[in-house]
Amino acid sequence: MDPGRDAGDMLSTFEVTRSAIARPTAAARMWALVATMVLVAGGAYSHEVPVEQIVRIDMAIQGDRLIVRMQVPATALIDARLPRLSDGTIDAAAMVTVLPIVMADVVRNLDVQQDGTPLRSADATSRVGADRKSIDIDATYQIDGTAGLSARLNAFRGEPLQPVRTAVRYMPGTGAAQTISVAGPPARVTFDPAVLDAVQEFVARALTAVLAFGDHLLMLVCVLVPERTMRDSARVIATLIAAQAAGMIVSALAAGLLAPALPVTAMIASSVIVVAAVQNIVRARGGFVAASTALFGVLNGLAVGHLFATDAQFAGAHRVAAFAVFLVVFALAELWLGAIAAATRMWLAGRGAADRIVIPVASALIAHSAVHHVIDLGHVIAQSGSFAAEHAVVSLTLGWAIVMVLVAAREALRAGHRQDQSARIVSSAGR
Amino acid sequence: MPGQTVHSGESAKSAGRERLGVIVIAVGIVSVIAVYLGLNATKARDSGKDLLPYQTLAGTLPEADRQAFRAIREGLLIAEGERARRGAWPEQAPLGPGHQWSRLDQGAIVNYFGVPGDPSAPAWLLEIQEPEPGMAPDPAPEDDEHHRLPDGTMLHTYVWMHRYGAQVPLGFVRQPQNSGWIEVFSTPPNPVYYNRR
Repeated sequence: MDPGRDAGDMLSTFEVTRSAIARPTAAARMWALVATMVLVAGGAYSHEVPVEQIVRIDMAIQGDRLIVRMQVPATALIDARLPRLSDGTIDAAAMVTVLPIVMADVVRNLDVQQDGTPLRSADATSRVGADRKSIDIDATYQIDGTAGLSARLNAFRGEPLQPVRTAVRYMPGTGAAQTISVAGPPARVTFDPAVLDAVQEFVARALTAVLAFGDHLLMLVCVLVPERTMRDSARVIATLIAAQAAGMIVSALAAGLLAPALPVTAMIASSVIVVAAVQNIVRARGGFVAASTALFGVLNGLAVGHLFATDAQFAGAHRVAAFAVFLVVFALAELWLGAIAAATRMWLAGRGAADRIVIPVASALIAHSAVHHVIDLGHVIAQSGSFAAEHAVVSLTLGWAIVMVLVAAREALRAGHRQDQSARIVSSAGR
Repeated sequence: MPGQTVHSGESAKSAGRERLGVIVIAVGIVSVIAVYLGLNATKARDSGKDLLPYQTLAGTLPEADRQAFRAIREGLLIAEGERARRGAWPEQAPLGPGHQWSRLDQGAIVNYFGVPGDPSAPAWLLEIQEPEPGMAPDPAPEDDEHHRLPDGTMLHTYVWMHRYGAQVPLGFVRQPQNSGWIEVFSTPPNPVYYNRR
C-alpha cells in the first residue's frame, strides 16, 4: 500500500465531495439532465414499417397479340422458396430447374382471359433479373380483338412486413396507356372496360360509399338533430352536399397533391362533427351551423374524392364519365338519406318529442363517436413519425380552442358595444 | 254524464297527413335498407372481405384451380356415399385428375392429400373431421363445410390448396393454416357455424 497515493486519492475524493457540496445546484442540475435523458430514451421506441414489394407488369397489344412482360421481385415469391446465395441474391445456377416451375405458376395465376375464356401462352420465357433479386417473365397471348381482356392481378405473397403490390401499365392498341395498381388479395381486373360497364361499376361504388357508416352520415344526422323547418333542413343538406361536391372535384383534380394531407383533413372533418354537436347543445345561430357544415363538407369531399381517385383506374378510358356518375349518385343518395332523416325529425317534433333531453343526448352520442374518429385518425397521423404529427390531436384541440376564444371575444365585444348603445339611449332619453 | 264525440274535419285531415308522412318515411327507410342489403349480397358472393388471411373463394382462383376445386367437392360426395355404405373411408377417392391422392388418418380426422403431377400446380388437401365420440350433435345446417351422413353423423369438411404442390411434403397435416395452406370456399362460410380447430 502506498500511503502517499492513498492520501492523494483521499484528497481528490475530498475535493470532489467538497466541490459537489459547494455546488449543489450544479450537481442537481446534472442529475436532473441525466434522469431526463434516461426517461426520454425510455419513452422512445421504434416500430417496423411495412415495405411494399412491387411487381411490375407491362401489357401491350400488338396486332392480334397481347405481349406481357413481368418483373417479379424474389420477395414476392416466398412460396417458391427460391435458392439464394449467402448475400441474399438469387442463385442463378440453381435456378435452372426451379425457373420453369416458377414461370408456369406465375403465368397460370395471372390467368389472362378474354370475355371470360382463359387464354394460353404458348411461348412464355423467363430469366433471373440482372440485379439477381427478381425474375423476368415474358408471355404472349393470341387475342381476338381488344375487348374483354382481363387478368388476375397481385397473386403473389410476401413476408408479413413485405406486402406485395402489382403495378400494371396497359397499352391498348389505340389511346393512352393506363396504369393499374392492386394491393391486397388477388383481384381480377378488366382492362379498358366499355363505358356502360364503367358507369355501372361506379354507381355501385358510389352507393357503397354513401351507405358505408362514415363521418358524412354522422354529420348528416348531427345537423338534423335539432328541430328545423323544411326550408332550413333543405338548406343545411344542400350546403353539405354542395360543399362535398366541391371537395370531391378538387380532390379528383389534385389527387396526388392532396393524398399526403388526407389523414389531417379527415381528422379536422371529424372534429367539425364534435363542434357541430356542441352547436346543437348551445343552439348556435344558423350562420355558424352553415359554416361548420360547409367546412365539414369540403373536407369530407376531399376524402370521398380520394376514394374515387383510388378506384378510377378501374374505369379505363372513361374516367370523366365514371366521376360524373360517382358524384351525381353520391349526391342523390345523400339527399335521399337526408330527406328521410329530416322527415323523421319533423314527424318526431310533431309528436312532441322532449327536445331538451333528445337534442343534448343525441348530440353527445354523436360527439362521442366523432371524438373516437379524431383519436383514431390522430394515431394514423402519429405513425408518420414527426414531432408535429405525434401531437396532431393536441394541435387540433388548441386550434379549436383558439377559434372558440376568438368567437367568444368577438361576441363579448359586440355585447359590450350593444350595452354602451343602450346606456347612451337611456341616458339621452332621461335628459 | 254521457260521452261526447267531437268530429273535426281539421284533425281528420291532419291524421291523414301524418299517416301519409309515416308511410313515406317507412318506404324511404325500407328502400335504404333494401339497397344496402342488395349491395352487400352482390358483393359478398365474390368478395373475400370477411375472410381470414389464409382463406379465399374458389371464384377468385384461376380457371384450372376452380376446376380442381369442383372435382374435389364432387369426389367428396362419392367418398361420403362409400363411407355411409361401408362405415369406412375409401382408400382411393375420385377427387380429380392430375393429382396422386393419398389417404392419411389421425384420430377422427381423415386427410386426402393430392400431390400434383405438374410441379407448378398446387397441392390439394381434403380434410374430413368426424365427430369425436361423446360429442353433442352439431346443430349446424348443411352447407359446404357441414355434410350429414344418412345415419345422422355430421361431418366437417375443409378444402385446402398449397402453391408449388411438388414442394409440399406428403404427410398428415394437423393445422394447415399454419404451414402455408390456403382454405378454399365456394361461398363465404357462415360465421356462426364455422368452427376451425
